[in-house]
Amino acid sequence: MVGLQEIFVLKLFLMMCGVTLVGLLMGAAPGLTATMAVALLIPITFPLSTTYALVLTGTIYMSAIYGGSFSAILLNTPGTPSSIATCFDGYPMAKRGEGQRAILIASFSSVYGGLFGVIFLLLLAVPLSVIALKFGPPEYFWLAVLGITVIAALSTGNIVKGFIGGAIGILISTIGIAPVGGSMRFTMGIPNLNAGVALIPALIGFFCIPAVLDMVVQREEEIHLLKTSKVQARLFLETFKEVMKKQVDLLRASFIGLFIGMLPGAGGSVANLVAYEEAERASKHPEKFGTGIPEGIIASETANNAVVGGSLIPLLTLGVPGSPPAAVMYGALLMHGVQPGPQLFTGNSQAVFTFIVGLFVATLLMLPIGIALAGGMTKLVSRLSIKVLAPFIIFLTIIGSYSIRNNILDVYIMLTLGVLGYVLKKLGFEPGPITLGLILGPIAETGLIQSLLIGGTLPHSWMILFKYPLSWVLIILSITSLFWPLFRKIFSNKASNSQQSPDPEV
Amino acid sequence: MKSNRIVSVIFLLISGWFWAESIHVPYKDALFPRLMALLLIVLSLILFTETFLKQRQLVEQKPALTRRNLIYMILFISLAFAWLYMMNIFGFVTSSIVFLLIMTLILSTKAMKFRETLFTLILYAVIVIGFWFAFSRLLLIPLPHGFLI
Repeated sequence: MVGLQEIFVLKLFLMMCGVTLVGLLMGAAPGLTATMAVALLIPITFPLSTTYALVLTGTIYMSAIYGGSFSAILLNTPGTPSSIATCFDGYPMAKRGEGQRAILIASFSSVYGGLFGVIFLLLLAVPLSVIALKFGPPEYFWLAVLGITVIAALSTGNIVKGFIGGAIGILISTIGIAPVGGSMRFTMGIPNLNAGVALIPALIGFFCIPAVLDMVVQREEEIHLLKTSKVQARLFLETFKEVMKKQVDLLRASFIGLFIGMLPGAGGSVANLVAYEEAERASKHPEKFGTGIPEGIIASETANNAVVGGSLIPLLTLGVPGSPPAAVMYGALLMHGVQPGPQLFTGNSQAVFTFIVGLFVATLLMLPIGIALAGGMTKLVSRLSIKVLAPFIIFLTIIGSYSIRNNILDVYIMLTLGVLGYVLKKLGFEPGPITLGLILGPIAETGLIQSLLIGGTLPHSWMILFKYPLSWVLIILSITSLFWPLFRKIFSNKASNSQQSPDPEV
Repeated sequence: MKSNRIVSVIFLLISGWFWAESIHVPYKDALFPRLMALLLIVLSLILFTETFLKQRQLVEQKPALTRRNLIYMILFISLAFAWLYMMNIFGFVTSSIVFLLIMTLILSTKAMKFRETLFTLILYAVIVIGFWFAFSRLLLIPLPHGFLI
């Protein structure tokens, strides 16, 4: 009830409406990801209260994921990586003149998936935080190890590169004062590095700068826009009924999104593709996938929005982000002096529940705002030329990374890491594992060193890492995730033998 | 393949540097970075070895970056760094307006007409001053200032 009262304060409600609109626009603009939207909003929320900051970052995360479907359907260009699979059926529908219907299907599916994720966040957050309170240093160490194995295993491309990215991120996180002993390390004599590499500028650099540099490369490419008009009331009701009839598809995609979101490191970009594949596998007419059928859009859009709630479960209960945007939200929490983890539910329970209620309201807000602006917004987004958009994003990244500590060196670090991130991306190293390594590094180090100190009473101090049952659960999960690529290969081979996959070109 | 070899050697050097630097740090605080440096060494060696073992299976993606695009990108990055440098000399507002306009002119595929340039300049001035006012005056977050604002 307290959460509801806080949300319906007019000021916050209006802010949420504005942020939903901005999130939709950013999500719809190809090249601007949900992670980038969250990263750019954080510095602006700095002067606001923790509750407001949390609610607004959650709102922009949810709406940007939804916004990605607009350009996927109308421009055949996924606005965010979470909407890649939406292109497969969304664009063929739009080409047939069913763009409005496709947008409505995406809207209802996104809201369904979003609400599903938030409800599970509400249901699972407290019980999981109770379990999380039983976590000691050894469990936290293994949890971080699990995070690293999962992000590497689910990273696209070469798994070794995924692991290398994670290791690089962890090594960057060791720069500065050691978390347990307090020694100064790897600062190269630069006093500004004593406090370490600031997380938010690093995240902004790794996620925003490569996207801008991609824009610079693509500056000559033209985007063709399909015509859209206002959504008719009749079509609205018909599509609503049509989507709601597909409960099995909606629930399957929601569970996939929720589960993948809960895994540390995996996000909407993985969930939408997995959900699409599963929908195709379960369908009686798999050959129709990729030709423009509602089931394809439902699978992708339900799953990517269900990821939002799912990815926040490990963030709020264990202090381990479930997706790249959740990783940026981790930074936002730290910036407001809040340590994510089970303590959140004792020290800041009101803020957490207001946040969850806010996320629920934000998900519902997406529908009227998204549908009302569908036509006009897509036209606006497609008219934003790269020559204006790219410099403007650089401007926002400068403000964003400077305003955290009022330190120009943070901006230099952000730009340098951004360029490094771009080069690494071109060489096959995704920014996801690197940034999650940055976050998981201090958790792993603190867990390991504290465990070894506590284990001093045992014959071998390292034995404490294997002493408790929860540690073994996490070790088994880590080993399973290590072998996940092998399972995935076996499954995909079986699938390709039985049926032909849709054209992945988007 | 070649790029993977070069990258793995660079990562080997980086991990070697972390290992060497950790010698000056007490054992307790050096343990974790050393483990990670060791992990990076092992992974880099695997990547390096893969380039020989999987030479036939792995098809290297040809870089889509043309020489012209590379020049544009280097120019764009250099401008971004110059923007930061100039911020402390001319101030946040002045340098931002100037560099935003320069970047737009460079990224423009067709020569911009005077009227369009003037409109873009006014647009950037409004946006930058708006942000400056919001941060410096309303949110009380000081932005870099030189001899101008």
